[in-house]
Amino acid sequence: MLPLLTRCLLMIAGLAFASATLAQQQRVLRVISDRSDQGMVRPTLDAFEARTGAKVDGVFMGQGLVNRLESRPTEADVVITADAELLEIAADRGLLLPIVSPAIKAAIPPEFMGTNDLFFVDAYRTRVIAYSRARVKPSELSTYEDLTSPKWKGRICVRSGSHDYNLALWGMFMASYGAEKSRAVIGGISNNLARTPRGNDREQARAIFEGKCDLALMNTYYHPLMAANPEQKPWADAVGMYFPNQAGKGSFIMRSGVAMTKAQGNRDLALQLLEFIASRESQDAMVKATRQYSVLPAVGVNAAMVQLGAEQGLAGGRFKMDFVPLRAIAGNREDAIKLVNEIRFDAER
Amino acid sequence: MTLSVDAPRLALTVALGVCALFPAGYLLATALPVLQQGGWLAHFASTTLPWQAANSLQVALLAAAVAFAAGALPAVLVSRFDFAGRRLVSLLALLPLLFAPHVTASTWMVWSSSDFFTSQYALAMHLGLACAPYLFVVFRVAASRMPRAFAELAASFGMGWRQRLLRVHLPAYAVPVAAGLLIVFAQCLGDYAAAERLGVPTLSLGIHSLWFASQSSVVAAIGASVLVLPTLVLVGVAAWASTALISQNPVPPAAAAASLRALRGPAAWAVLGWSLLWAVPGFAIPQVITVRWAEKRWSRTRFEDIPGDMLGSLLTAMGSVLLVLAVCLLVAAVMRAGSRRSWADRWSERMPWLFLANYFLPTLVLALAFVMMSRDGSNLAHWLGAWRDTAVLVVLAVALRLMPFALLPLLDALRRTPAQLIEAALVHGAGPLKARALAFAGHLRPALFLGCALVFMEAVKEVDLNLTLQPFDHPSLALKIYAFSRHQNMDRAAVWVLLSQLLMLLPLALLWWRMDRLDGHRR
Amino acid sequence: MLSIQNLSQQLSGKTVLSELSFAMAPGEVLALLGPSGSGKTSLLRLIAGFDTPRVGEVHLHGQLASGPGRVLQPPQKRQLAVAFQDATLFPHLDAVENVALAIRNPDKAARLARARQALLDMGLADMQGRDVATLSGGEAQRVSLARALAADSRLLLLDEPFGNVDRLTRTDLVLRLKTQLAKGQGALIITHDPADALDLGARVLLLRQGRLVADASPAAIANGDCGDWARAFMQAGA
Repeated sequence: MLPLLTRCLLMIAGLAFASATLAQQQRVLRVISDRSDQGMVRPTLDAFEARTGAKVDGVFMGQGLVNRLESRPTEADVVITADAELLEIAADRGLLLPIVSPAIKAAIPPEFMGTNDLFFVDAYRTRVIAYSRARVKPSELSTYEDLTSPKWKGRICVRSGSHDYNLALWGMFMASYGAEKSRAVIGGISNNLARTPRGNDREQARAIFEGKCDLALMNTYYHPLMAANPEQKPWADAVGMYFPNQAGKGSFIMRSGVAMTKAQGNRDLALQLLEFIASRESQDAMVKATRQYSVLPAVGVNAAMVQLGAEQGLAGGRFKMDFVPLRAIAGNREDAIKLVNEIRFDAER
Repeated sequence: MTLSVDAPRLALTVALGVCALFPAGYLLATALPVLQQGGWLAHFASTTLPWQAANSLQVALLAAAVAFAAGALPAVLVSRFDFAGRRLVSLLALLPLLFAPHVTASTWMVWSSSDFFTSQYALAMHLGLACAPYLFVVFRVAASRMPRAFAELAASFGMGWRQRLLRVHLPAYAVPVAAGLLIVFAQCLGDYAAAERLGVPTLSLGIHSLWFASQSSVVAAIGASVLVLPTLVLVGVAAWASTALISQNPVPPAAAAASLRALRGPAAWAVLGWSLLWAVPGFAIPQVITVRWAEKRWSRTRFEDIPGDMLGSLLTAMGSVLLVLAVCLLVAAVMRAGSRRSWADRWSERMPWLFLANYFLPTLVLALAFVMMSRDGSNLAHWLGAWRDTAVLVVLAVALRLMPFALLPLLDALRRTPAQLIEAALVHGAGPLKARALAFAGHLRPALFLGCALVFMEAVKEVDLNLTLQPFDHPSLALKIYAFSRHQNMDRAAVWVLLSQLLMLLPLALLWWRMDRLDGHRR
Repeated sequence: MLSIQNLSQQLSGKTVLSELSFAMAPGEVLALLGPSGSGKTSLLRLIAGFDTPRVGEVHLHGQLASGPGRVLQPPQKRQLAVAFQDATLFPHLDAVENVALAIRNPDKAARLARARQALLDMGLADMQGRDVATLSGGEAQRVSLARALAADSRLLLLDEPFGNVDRLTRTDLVLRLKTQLAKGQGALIITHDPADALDLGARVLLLRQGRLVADASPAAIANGDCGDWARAFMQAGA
């Protein structure tokens, strides 16, 4: 019989060897995302880890995603972004690999597949008009362009015109309305502002609640987020969400997306993750966690958002979307920022 | 007997200069050849640049007033007078170090619906209060060395208090005043997170908007060149002034060792009240709110993340401190002590000042420079090898940015150390390095101590460099706080804010103790 | 001109002066002697009004200047000039400007001219623009003395004016100071060296552990008129 000490040492050595081997065998998938709050993405990645046994390491970096990708094209295997326009730009710069997957092709509607199948949209939300339930009737609202009407003078609150969310919206205006009209609309909104643009989307809801303005531009998922927060619930209760342009081409949507980079070594695993993200299981979980809308028609709207738009006659939280192609929008962001600067959208009022 | 270390000194001087200016130089080199490309610079200059620059200047001036009132004034009073609550005044002046300005800005903004807390006045207040502890340290050190004999002498020549203020005190404090203004302006120009939270359109925000809109690093470099060029000029002037205008202190320590004057009654209470007044918005109220939020959210906290995040922050901060310390020790080992005799001495002392350029640049711009410099195939990527994809890059960038906090006090201490001390140690048998260690211990140790404590605390709070340069799976308290505060979930961020404060408690305590020891011999 | 009555002072709980009393006539030169720590600088600071006496009074030019626990006349009103032990030259002013600081004349050109003359009287020429950091110990001391003398005060307080200089410089400075003092300006000179008192022809106040042990001429003290210790002190330095 071996002495006790020797047995212990052998056991420890064995365990160490086993862990090292396991670590070597366990594959690591690298994901880069501009979502600085992992809470939106992590549940999906955790579920993928549980399913495949792979480990997913992430960089959740906020701004500068495309520049980092350009600087290190093969650092990550998968890109997950809240703004699919960035994937359009990344695709233009040759940073992405085409997605060849029958499963994804079958699941994702064609309008949500990116240019040359270099990425796909995995979720969307819309930028709607938040309005004061106490002071505005839904029947008074109609389109984005109507926000330039004199009746809204001094009644609109908005976050910075240079913020990503608004730049995306202005880009859609430019693609949809053309240069001249979009300038008039953005300028008109600027003229009708109640105060200097400040704060984030929830701050605008708070401003409506406090009577500082009657309308705001907000992303849809903020309403259930505020409703779930005891301190912000009064803000949610005070505002209604109006989906503009339902009688016309529909409301503009903002898209999240995923893509594969040209990194080698983990392509099969990367594709597995993308297929997982496109699956019913993941889409169901994503809708619950992020309060966005799924690209899969069969996946329902988040329970907390089903009532959104009910006051204007929408049912089940579904709405008409103005499907401006990403390709048409992606190049507009530079023009949008220039326009915002020229009209001094963010100037002190 | 003098040490002959010219070649290493020259090499170190050049190396320091290159390291200090490399990011700014890289950005300029990227931007200058294509400055007119896409019309971005012309667009920026003709639209938002003028009023964003005016905003930034206004914020900086207001912040300077706040910082001087909350930091410099108590520092001079604590250095000159003995009164009940003197130690408390020191502590109150340093406590704002426990908060990053974007955290106080977000906390106030979420807690209060007043429009003030989303105005540029609020931004100036937050940035000013964030700088106040640094001004307290600078003025505390300067005032403790300022002999009372100057003022007494001037009084004996018939000068009243107004004349003494104008002709003796203000000129004597010119250097700390200039240093204080540099710190405030650097903080205000470089800040992005607090301005973004409050939606105040500053120059830094304008540059970032250009970058994010175009998703082009070249456009960002073009925009950043607006700040890089004046930064280099300003820092160059500061470096020149450090050796041309600031004379070595001709007053031996004995003259400075006058005992503190007693301050009693209403005057003492007024000083204490003044400090408490500034501590309220800068620390007390944000702290109370944060603790309350943490209590509310305690049961929903992801405790399993805490050890990793704390360890990640600790390791990154310690790494930055060690790197800064290594550079400082190298400078101490090679640079000449005592007065600057030749042009070579003066240039070797000016070079480290150039590190200020990285402090003036907005952190996201510095991060952009590092992203570009460390791209695949670059020299930096080759030199770093696999380390590029670890937290080492973050540590490098953070250390580069925070280097002035330790290096400049070190240079000051070196200047105050007579070269004869080294010679005396050599004569008594010490080797060259040990002789320097013996000679420098008295002055350099406190300066390094102070500097490293400040570097550690700033590194714990640092967000932008961590965000942009982070490796995969990089746990960090600052990143958690940032992520929550972006979506106004300050209540969820509260626990992480308290954890980051826990990490900073020890260096804060050491800093407080060090400030207290400044005039131990004068009691 | 100066009258000290029953002055006592404590610093950090330690008695540095104890029941000191003496008087000084206008134009008189007094040498304040004593070993290190005997209270000489403390006395100077009380006379100048920089510190507040615990017990006793300081009368200057016939007026009560300081009393127990209070300074009735601030330093700037006492018509004094002080030269500290370590020169105390303002680093942001050159040598001429340092001297000019003490001259009360609204005309800047006149102040500078007077300052240059005062420096010449102390054996210093071409001091315009001289950075004080570049002055030697002796030069700095001369500038400090020139400044004190240029102040046109009724009473000079000099703390170890020859403490940091070599013998030759000292001899020169003593001679120049004597020449200036011969014009009638009173002076109280702190020194630990009895030879200074002898050379300046001053009356001597000898302090020991905060107490006045002798108030007489150097010769009288050296003769033993004020006790053995005082005699030994004077003879040791002579």
